[in-house]
Amino acid sequence: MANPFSIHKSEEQGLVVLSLEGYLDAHTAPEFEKAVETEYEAGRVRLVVECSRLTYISSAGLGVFMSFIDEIRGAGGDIKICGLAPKVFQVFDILGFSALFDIVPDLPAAVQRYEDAPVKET
Amino acid sequence: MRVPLIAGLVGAGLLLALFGKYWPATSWTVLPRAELVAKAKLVSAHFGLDASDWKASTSPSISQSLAHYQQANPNDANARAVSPLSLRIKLSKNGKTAEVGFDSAGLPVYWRAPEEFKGQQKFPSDDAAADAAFRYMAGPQAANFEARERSMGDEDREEDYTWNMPAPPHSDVRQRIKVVTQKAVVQTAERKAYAGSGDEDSDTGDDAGYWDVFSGIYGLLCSGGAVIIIGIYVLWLVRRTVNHKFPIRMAGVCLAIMIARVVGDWDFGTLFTAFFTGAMFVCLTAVGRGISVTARPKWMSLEQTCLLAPVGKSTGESLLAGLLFSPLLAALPFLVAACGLFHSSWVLPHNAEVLYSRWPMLDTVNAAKFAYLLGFFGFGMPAFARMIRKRWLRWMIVLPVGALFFADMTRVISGAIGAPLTAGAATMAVLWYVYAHFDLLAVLTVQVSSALLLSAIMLGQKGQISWGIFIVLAVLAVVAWWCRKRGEAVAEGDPLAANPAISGFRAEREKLKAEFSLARRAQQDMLPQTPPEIPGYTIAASCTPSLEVGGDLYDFLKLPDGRIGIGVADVSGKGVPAALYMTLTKGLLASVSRDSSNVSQVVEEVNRHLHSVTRKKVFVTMALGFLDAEKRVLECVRAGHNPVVWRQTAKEATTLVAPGGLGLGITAGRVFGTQLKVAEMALEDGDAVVFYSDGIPEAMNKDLEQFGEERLVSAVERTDRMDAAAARDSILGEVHDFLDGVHQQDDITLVVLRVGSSN
Repeated sequence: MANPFSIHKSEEQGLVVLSLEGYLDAHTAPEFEKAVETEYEAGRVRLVVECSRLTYISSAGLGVFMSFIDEIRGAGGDIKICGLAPKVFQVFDILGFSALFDIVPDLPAAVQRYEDAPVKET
Repeated sequence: MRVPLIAGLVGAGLLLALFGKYWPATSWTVLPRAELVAKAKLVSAHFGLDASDWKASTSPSISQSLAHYQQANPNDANARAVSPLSLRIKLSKNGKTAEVGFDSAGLPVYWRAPEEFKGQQKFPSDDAAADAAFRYMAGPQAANFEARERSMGDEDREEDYTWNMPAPPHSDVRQRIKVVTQKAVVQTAERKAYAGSGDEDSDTGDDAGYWDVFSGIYGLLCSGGAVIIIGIYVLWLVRRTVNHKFPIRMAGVCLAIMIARVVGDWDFGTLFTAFFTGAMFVCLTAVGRGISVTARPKWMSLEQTCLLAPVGKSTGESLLAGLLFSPLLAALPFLVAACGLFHSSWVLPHNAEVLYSRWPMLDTVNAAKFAYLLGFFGFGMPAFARMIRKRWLRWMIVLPVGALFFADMTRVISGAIGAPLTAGAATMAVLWYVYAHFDLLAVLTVQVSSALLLSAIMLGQKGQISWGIFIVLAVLAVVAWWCRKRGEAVAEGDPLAANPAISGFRAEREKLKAEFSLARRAQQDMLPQTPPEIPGYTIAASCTPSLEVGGDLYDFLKLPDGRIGIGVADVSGKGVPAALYMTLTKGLLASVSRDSSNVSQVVEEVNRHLHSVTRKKVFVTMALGFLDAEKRVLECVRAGHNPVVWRQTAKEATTLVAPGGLGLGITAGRVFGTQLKVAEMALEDGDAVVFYSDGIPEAMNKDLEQFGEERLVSAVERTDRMDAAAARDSILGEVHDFLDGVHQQDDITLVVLRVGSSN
């Protein structure tokens, strides 16, 4: 069963916005990982991951957020997460991601958060 | 392919030369089936039953003693006047049945009226009715019979009449006519012929002597064995929850037809048997999938054919070899009969009945008994090879058993038992050659196509041409050729398929599979086999990986301060990588908890170690509770794991206990410690605490609906009066019902702690 998943990339006031849609699981996680890696290697480290159309995330999908966060923050950037549906937010929250990542309601809030705190303090 | 080709040519030559001479039915008259059915209705009309619109079904039979006598005494004119081949026609309507029998020349030899038949009373008395029936049955031979004997019955009872025809000089064939009447109506009338000194009363006319014993025992062993094997296999499937829908469906359809046949009294014996044989065959093949690694290659092309999977070169070669060897296999019994060692031998193939068959091809395939061959070569031989290591000893046992086994199939009829045994041994030698150089599919093909070949020759000899048989043989040949060509083409493009050891490659895969099931067992063994016994509590646990191995675990710990630790953890991802980290996590938890009774300290320590060894993307979530059994206090932490369900039975309240905490292995920073909170639960009598992994709330049915926390909470609430084991089974049962056949996508782990010893 192939679950549909797609990533849409856009820019918003100098930030890279990756919009996720569909199922982010072990099969589709590499695609997301590749997208984040591309941005990081191009030196674009101020990322927003917009999840309003993300319907499911598995542990493998969560792993992608973890795998680059140290490097990105080391380079002065961050990953802000916005637009989580309640069910998906619950998965992030159970794992304690709210303590590790800035999770905000929507895109404008994410942009605002970059102005307030470019890197989340942990 | 040179050997099969030569074998085929030799076999065809032998068949042409020997068939006519050693097949007894060459001299028999055989009327077409349809003509006899029409005549059967005339006979029943003669006895006062109008059966013109009744349904007819036929069953042919051959009296072997008569046929044998005829073959041994070719000059006995008296013997040649009766035919060993006869046909019984069952006429039925509305649950009533009558039977009419003919010999192959079309003379009536049997009549049986339906139960409680009160036909038209044509005769003034029983005696007159019986005499008329006698004359009808005896025909022109009536004068040769002795005067009738009558056994008197009471009034209204059945009357029995018997006429005997003694054997004339220079002959050993006698006949008897029996008539039973009631109220001047003929109930049964029967003419029988006996050869030699056969016991008249026990001789049923289609006797087979020691063959029946053989067939009976084989049939019982084979069908009984098959039922047991299939039963065990199905149980095994259910236990392993492996998804093998195909054979189970086949068995189901088969069973349904069997029930329908019994309940509905349908009369389609041949079709039914054909289907049943086919279904059993598929089931056996499915069972063959579980056969040992060494025997597996022999099953490969058969399995592919059964599953209608893309066919390769080896499938084509097996089919072709089977077809080419079939004339030789068919000729073997004739060769034994002709070899001169055994006096007056002849061959009566199993499928001689096709002469009267409605569907000659189906009847032939049914009679080929290929399931027996599958049993012998597919299961028996590999089992022998495993049990008996000494080669010579194995052959000492297998040869006589095989000779006996195949003697029944060849049906060389002779006064000396050596003839069938020799034919059996020769048959086994040929089949063994085919098995050793090709595979099971070739063995089955040679058996079926030789039976078809014999049927075609027998029918052809009587002027009937069965196009169905020729079409099937031709299609088989075309398919074989096509598979072989296509296999070669595939092999050119695919270096893997070009490898002659493609079956070896598959065997390798099987070996890997076996290793995996070992790994699964090893992993399951790693989990506590029995929960700790804590006075005043019951505990039950379960862990089912979605794949062979998984990343879930549960464990029970004995802490330095005497408390008991209960932990459930889930490694991100699935399969082998997750399983490796699962082992690591279990080890870390066990070693850290030996030195510390502080629940947050234990988890922080495990996190530190995990973070230093895991790759960045892997993390572990864990729920860990430390139970003070005396004080009934449970300290709980949740490292990124699902909340713990706490059912307070007395208060009728259910809480999802979710103190803060990050997953393990994500960060070694201070933030892990600052986030980690401890929940303290004061337990009361009847309370339940349920630890689980996300496989339960995220279990997804075919409507893509998740089980969810709410269903879990209600499932827990429904277990209020149960002890831990019953509660666990009840909750897992609800998840199972919810999934309704959908295979679980994630590992499912559940630990239930119940306060109160039981009930």
